[in-house]
Amino acid sequence: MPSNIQKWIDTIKICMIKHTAYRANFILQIIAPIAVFYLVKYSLWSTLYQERELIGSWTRQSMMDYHFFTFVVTLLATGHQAFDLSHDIRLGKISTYLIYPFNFWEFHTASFIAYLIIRFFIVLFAILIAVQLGWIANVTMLNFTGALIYCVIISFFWFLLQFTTGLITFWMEETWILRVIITVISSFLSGYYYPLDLYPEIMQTILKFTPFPYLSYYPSKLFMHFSLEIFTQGLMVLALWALPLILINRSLWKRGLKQYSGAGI
Amino acid sequence: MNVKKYRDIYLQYFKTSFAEATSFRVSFILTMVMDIFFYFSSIFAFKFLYQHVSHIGTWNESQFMFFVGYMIVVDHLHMTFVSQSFWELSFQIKTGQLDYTITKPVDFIFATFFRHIRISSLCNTPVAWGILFYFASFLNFSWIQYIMLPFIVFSSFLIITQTEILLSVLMLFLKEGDGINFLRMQMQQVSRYPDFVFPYAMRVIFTFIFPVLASGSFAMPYFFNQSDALFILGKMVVINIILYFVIYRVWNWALKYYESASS
Repeated sequence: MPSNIQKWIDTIKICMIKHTAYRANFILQIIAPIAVFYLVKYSLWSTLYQERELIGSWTRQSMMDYHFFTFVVTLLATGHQAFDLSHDIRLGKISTYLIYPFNFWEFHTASFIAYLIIRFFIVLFAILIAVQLGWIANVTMLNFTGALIYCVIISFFWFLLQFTTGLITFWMEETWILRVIITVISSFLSGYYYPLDLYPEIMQTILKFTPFPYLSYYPSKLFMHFSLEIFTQGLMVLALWALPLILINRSLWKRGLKQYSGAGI
Repeated sequence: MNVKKYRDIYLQYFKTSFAEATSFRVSFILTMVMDIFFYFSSIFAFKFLYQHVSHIGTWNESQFMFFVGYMIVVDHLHMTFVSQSFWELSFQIKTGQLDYTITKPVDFIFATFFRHIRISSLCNTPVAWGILFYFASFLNFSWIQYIMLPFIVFSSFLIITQTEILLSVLMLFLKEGDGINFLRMQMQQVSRYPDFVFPYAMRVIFTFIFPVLASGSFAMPYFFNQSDALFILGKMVVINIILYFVIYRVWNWALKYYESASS
């Protein structure tokens, strides 16, 4: 068991070095898209608030806080792991993992944790700058700690979703399309564009039964006003959706391996 | 002679892209679905917003939704005719396959950026243009405005594409080109919003240095009866001509520093 822990630690270390090897690329691929979208949203909402005090129940400051925290949630929670995973399957690289004393899922989970650690420090740095510059209001330690813990849990949910999507590579040539579809849908339905309480009421009611609001809208609100009720409700909903995903994941892996041809052996 | 040669080559590109696309039928359908999701999420994001505000900047709902529809068509053209080639370029630089493109007896820019056509996106043409004409119907266009619409849309598409080709030169200097592709996508993101929402500095950068804001925002005054067609088209043609010459100069200069991964 201790030797297995050592394997995890070593793999995480190696993956951290690998992720940051091409620094310019890392910044352009991970930070720049979210930062640019934040700038676009900041500009749009600044224009909207030039002529009005309130939009829905949102003041200018609360809306800007919301958009900053969706930036933080996205930066921390979403990733690109499924790309490596589907690449490994398509090019027959999983043959190596089948004989290694470290499983395929273990390697990719370690790689994900490495990635999460890097993003965690970037997020802390971004929050520190925002606080120093006075961009965000009502900052409390409880809000931050609670919301950050929640975000780490969401990132595991995203990883699970992406891992499952990546496993479909056993049957499909290209899985990036599935990932983009999931991203487009979740961006729209999770409150990434703007708070979900600005959506029509019927949509808000329907969305409560899906995991989407718990991926962006509620975590951003947790940063603003921590609520144990939202926190536990979010965890329960995500767990409810994670369970079938884990089962599908295991089933896909078993069935996929049976028809895996081991290209390149 | 030259036109015939390039027409024949493009026809071959189209045929191979078609053969490739129809080999993977599930991916083909999913790409269509992905595009449609994107179109409708863009539309509803602003539709819902207009339930809370009467105008954004000086634009009312009909004007803004026409702009959204306009940018959907520009995106659709981009997705269909050039998007995939940018991702392939990154892969070609990484693997050294770009050498083969450089040494071919055809124009380098043509062979690199117009090689791949996404047939699945092409099938969404009626959806994208249908959305645009639907929103145009709320603005009481004259028949001349309807006739001018495709020409102005095409100019916008050229501005976006040429700006991205210019930006892609950076891939030659980075070992991993995917980051530039993500940056390129951010440029598209910026272009999907009207120029008046941005602060002055950003407006200057994205109008004069990387003129992505010129693609959509420059065209709108004509459709909102604030400017005449010749002036708008003239501005867009001038930008496209300048970009065309800058692209060739910059790419020819940058290729001298290209270090092939395979040699």
